[in-house]
Amino acid sequence: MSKMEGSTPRITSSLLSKYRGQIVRCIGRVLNTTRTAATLETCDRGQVTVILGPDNPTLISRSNVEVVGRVTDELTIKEFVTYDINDNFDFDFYNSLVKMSQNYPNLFS
Amino acid sequence: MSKTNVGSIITLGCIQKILSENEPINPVLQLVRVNPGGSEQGGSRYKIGLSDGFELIQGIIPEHLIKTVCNGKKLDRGMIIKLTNYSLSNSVPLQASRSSTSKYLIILGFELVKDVPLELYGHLSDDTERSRAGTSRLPNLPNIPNLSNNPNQPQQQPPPPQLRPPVPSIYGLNSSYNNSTPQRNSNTNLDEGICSIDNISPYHNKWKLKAMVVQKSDLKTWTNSRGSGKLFNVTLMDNTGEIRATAFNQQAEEFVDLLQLNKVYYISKGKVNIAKKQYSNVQNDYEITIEAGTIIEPANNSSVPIKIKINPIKISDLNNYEKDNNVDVVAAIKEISETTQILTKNQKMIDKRDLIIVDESGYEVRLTTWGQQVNELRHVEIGTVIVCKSARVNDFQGRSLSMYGNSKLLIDPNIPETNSIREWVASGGLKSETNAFTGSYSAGSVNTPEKTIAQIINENIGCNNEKGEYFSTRGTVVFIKRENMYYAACPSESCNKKVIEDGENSYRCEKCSRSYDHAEYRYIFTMNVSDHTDGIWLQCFNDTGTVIIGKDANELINMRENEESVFENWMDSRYFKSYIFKCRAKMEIYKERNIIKYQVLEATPIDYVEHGQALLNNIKELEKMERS
Repeated sequence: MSKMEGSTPRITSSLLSKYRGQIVRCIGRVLNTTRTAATLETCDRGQVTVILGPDNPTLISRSNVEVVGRVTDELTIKEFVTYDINDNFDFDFYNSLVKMSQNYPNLFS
Repeated sequence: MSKTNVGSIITLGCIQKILSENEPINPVLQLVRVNPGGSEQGGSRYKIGLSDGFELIQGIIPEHLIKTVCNGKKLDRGMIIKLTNYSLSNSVPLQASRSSTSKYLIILGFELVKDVPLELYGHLSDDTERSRAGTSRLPNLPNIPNLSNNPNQPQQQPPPPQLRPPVPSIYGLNSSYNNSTPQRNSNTNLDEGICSIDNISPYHNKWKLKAMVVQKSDLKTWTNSRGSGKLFNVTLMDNTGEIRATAFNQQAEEFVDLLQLNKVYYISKGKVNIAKKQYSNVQNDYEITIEAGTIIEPANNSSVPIKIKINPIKISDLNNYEKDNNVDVVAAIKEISETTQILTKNQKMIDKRDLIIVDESGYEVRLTTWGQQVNELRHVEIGTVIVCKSARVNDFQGRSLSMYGNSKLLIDPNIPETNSIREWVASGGLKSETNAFTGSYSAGSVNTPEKTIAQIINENIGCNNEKGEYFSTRGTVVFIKRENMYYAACPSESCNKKVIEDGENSYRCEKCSRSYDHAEYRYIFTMNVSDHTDGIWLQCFNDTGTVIIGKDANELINMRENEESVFENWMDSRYFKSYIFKCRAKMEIYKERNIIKYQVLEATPIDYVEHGQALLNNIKELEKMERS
C-alpha cells in the first residue's frame, strides 16, 4: 500500500510495528528524559522510546508532547520535531480516535 | 297512575343486535338522557342516550325532527320511542391508542310510543368487555321480567341479582406494604353496601364506592363566552376497575384538598353520566360528577386492592417501539434532575422534570414529566420504584419517554408487577452498569432542532411561522463585519435604547427622557458563519457578541481608538473559532422585500472532548448499522 506523500499517520505504541520505517506522529506524556532520549507513555498506556534529534531542545518531564519522527527497526522513534500539547488533553478519547482511524485507511493513510 | 311495565314495551337487548349490524327493524328504546346540542351546519341536533334495558347507546336526532314528531312537546328522559329510520355510525376515534371507536345512532325517523316519562327500566351490563366473569347485580332493582314476548332475546346475565361480597384483598395498599393478611376495615358498618366500580351506572343512584385516588389533576380554571368556572378530576380505582370523577366550581373548591393521591375514600351520591372519553383515557363507559349532595369521606388507614392493567415492557426493548407509541414500564429511579420551568407555545409556564429510570434489563432511559406529575414526584428519591402507564416514546437521544396528559404515573404502588424490580433494587441493581440509548448527538433539543447551514437555507427555516422559528447549528466564525458593530446605548439599567449625542459628553435617551454624560456601548453586528455545507450571516447582540469578540463593546472601542494594530490582531484571533449557535429565524421586510434574518440567541464554544465523544458515538452507531 503506497503511502501518500508527506502524510504522517497518528499512532500509539501498539501500532509501531505496522509503521516500521515510516514517518509518524505520536502523542504522549513524557515519563523521563535525558539529553539524548526520552520515554513517552502513549495514549494506549504503552510506552515508546524517543531518540532525540541532536539539536532539539530537551523534553520536559510530565508534559504532553507530540513527537514527529521515523519508526526505527528497534521500534523506537527517531525524533524530527516535537510540539507541545495542552495539559488537559484527553488521552482516552484520542486513543479511541486513533483506533477508529485505522478502520478508514483511505481517509488517514 | 298505573305502573306500566316498561320492560314489556321496549325491545330488550336490541342494542347488541344494532351493534352487530343485524339492523333490527323499528326497535323501541327508552330515553335516558336528552341534551339539546349546539348548532352544527344544517341545524341543531339533540344528543340522546337510549336504553334497551341492558345497555346504553348514544344517538343524535335533528331538532326539526323532534319538533315534527313531538308536536311541540319536549323530549324527556324516561320517554319511550320507536326508531323507524336510523343508522349506526362510528365516531372519530379520539385517542388512537385508547378507547376503540364508539358507535352511535343517527336517527332520521322515530315515533313516540310513550310521551310521558316513565321510570327508567333495567340495569345495565357493560357492552364490550374486558371480560369479567359474572357481573354482579344490585339488590334493589326489579328482576328481569318474563321474556316471553321476545323469545329470541339472548339472556346475557346470570339470573338472580346479588351483591358480590367484597373480595378479600390480595395486595393491600396501606403504608406498610407486604402485609399479606387481608386488611378489613374494623369499622365494618362503613363497608356495608359498598358497590364495586364496575357496577356503577346511571340507573342506580344509591351506590357507595370505596376506592383509591390514583390520579388527581390540578385545579383548572376556564373562561369562555358563557362565563368562567373551575374544575378538577380524579381517577378512582378499586379491585374491579376505574372511573373518573369530576368536581366543578363550588364542589371543586370544597373537595380539591380533601381528595388526595393514593388515599382511599368512601364516595356516594354523585351523579353518573356517560363518560366524555375525549377528556380522559380512563377505561369506563361512565363517569361521576361530584355534586352539591355528594358525600366523600376518607377511609382512614383502610386498604383497597386496586386493579391495574399494565403490560410493562423492558426498557431495553424500547428500540422496538417507534416514536409516538405508548408503552408501560415498571422501573426504578436512578437519577433525578432539578425541576425547570419551560415556556410553552401558549405562553404559559409549565414545570418540567427529568428522571433517569432503569430496570432489570440493564438499560436506562430518560423520562420527562410535566405539570401535575412533577408535583407528584416531589417526594421521590433514588431507588423509588415507579410505574408509568401509557408513557409516550420519543426518539430524542435515541429513545426517551415522556408523560403526557393521559399518561399515568404511580409512585411506589404495591402491585405484584413491582415485586421483581424491588428485589433487583434491594440486591444492588442500581449500582450496576447500565446501557443508555445514544442515538445521534444533537446540539439541539425538541424545540430548537439542529440543522446544518445548508438545511437552514434550503428548508427556508423562518418562513413558516410569523413569530420566528428556532434552530441550532454548529459553525465557525469566518468573518465579522467591521462597520456598525456597536451602538451607543442608554446606561441606565435594563434600558438599552439607542441614545443620541446632543452635545459634548451628553447623550439623550428618549425612553428615559433624560440625558447622560456617557453611554454604554452594546454590540450589534453581523458575522458570517460556515460549516461543511454552507455559510450564513448571523446577527449578534450584546450578550452573544461579547462571547464572540471576547471583550465587551466599551473595551473594544477603547482598543480600536487607541491601539489600532492591537485591535486588528485581536479581531484576527477571533476568527475560525467554532461555536454551537442557538438562533431564531424570522421573516422581515427590508426595503420592500421579504428577507429572513437570523439572530443568535446563544453562542457556546464547543467543548471539543465532549463534542468529539458524541461524534465518535455517532460513528460507532453508523458502523453498527452498516454491519447489520
